Amino acid sequence: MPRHTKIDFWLDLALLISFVVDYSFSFTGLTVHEWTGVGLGASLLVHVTLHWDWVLRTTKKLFTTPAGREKLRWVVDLLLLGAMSLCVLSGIMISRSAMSALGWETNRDGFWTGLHTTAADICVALVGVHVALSWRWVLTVGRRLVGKGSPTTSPSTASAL
Amino acid sequence: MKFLRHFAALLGVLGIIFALALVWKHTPLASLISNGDRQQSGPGRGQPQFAGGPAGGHVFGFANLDDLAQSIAVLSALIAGVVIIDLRRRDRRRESLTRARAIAQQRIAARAK
Repeated sequence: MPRHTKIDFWLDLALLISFVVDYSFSFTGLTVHEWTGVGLGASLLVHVTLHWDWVLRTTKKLFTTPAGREKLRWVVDLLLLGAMSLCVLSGIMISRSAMSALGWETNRDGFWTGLHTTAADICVALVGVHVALSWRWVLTVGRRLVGKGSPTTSPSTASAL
Repeated sequence: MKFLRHFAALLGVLGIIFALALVWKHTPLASLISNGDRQQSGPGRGQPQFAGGPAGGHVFGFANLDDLAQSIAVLSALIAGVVIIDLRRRDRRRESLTRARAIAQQRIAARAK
């Protein structure tokens, strides 16, 4: 199995678990919620950067090919990038624990708080669709990692999935 | 080098998103979401906690495991829903392909006769 496929798989899994835990605010508490969010934001930067080639390739093809799975995935991913960015950025703007530990006192207001919770709720729906659109890849790589099956490429490159 | 180039491009996109959020904040449309004190139910919406309630002060509240369970349930239901739709779509496409193939074969057989 290619090394980047393994990296993709474990990073994606870590992101998914972190997101679900972070979304459960009553469970994590404020401090863990904020630091997990900061880590999630940093990991997302790596995740999207690793798939930037796919973003460019699909964007170029977007207006020349008929509607299909890749197009749907592109739209979902674009919305997810926007929602997740807004969620993390607004989270930083209303931070009370993580940012003050880094020496930055934030000026929290209703707009950023509202944006944070709204973006988080939208993200849950989009994360679900994002993961589900790659379910065959997840299954194949997952099986391979435990010793069954044979995956080939990342979900973004596996247009046949 | 390629990673850094892609990373810089992504930071540019994030900058644009943040700039748009700032613009949004200063338009009348900001009132659509500018409601920090609203009460919501379910996982992840910690408005009362953000306001400094006791739930915000702890580090992993295992008494609130149901919140985590609810998040997992919501996400699992969403994933399951999309996967079921995807499977049905594939089945339908496979059926129509099989039907089209059968019709084509019947026509070929009819012509051969």
